[in-house]
Amino acid sequence: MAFTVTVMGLLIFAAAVAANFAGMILTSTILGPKRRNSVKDQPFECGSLPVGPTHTRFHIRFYLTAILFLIFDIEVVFLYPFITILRPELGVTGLWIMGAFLAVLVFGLAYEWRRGGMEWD
Amino acid sequence: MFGVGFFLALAFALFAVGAFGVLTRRDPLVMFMCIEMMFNSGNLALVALSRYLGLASGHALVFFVVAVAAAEVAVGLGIIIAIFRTEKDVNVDHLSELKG
Amino acid sequence: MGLREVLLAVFAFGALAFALAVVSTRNTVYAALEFVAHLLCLAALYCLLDAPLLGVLQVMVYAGAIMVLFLFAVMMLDIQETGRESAFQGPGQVAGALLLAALLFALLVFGADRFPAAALAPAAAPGAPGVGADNVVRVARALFERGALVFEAVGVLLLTAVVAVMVMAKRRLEN
Repeated sequence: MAFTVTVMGLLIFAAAVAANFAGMILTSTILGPKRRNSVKDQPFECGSLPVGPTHTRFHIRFYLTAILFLIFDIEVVFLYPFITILRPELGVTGLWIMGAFLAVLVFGLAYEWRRGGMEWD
Repeated sequence: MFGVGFFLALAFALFAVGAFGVLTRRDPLVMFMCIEMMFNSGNLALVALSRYLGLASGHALVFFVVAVAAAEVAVGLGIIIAIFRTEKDVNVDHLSELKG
Repeated sequence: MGLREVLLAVFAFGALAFALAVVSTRNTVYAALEFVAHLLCLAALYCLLDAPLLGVLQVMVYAGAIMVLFLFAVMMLDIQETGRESAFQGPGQVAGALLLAALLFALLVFGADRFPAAALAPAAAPGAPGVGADNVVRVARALFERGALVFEAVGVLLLTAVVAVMVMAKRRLEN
């Protein structure tokens, strides 16, 4: 319950920020003058004329990197609750449990490395 | 008002919205997001029931669900991208390769 | 109506509103961003429901990593070619899906209503610490003492995902 009370302030702040944003955007939409012309509708590129479309395609290498991030993100998320009970309750058994998990994931990392998933050219 | 019933009803509503999205959208990415929404409604029901019953095992289950969802998203998006590479088209109605 | 109830109402409403926005927006990028907002609302609800660890998990994994993957996928598929002219199925199918979704909701509510109340009685004695007290430690116990085998299976699943993605992406890199 203590955490709930602590986090409540954060959540009130988040709700207030969201309401503030919505209010400002709504007010300026209602009150502000709207004079559109073709120059205003152009994307702004540091004052120079826009070159090419804004939707450029990303290379699939970014996707591979993001996958690696996702997998190790999950790993870290599991590590945090693990650490809290390692010393008092799990002991050596806990080290074996986490060791097997990490070994499996490192095997995946090694596979990706070997297949050249981390090369950037 | 905010008993376990409220959160279960919210979870059911989110599940129905996700199902509606899967059935009506044509963009596979949005369909996939709707599937994730249905996953999340299940998680919300688990969290609400965990609190009501005073058990932490529901929270552990949510952990596993999120890990499975992450693996599923990684492979699923990979498949969508692979299909797009060969078909140049991601409208699901045009994907009839697997039709018998 | 206390402060907690107000926050619960705000974020429950936000979760539902952003979910509806996801299914009704034409632009895929906007849909992805609305889905992030939906997930953040759910994270806030988890925090209010005595599950702070899951709230953080939701922000880190779902809103942080999974949605980044979605946005990468959106940017890798050139949006301009993805059949913008028809983001939805025909009106008949939309109406049918609406009916089906309403039926599904009614079925779930009906099913939950018929569930024997005895099975849903709070297990903890009144006054006992709920899930909020020592939340991380209690979740950790459930994860690593009773769920150790499932945990290892999750590791194997993640390995499978890495290998599968690698095989699919690598074929693309080579040609």
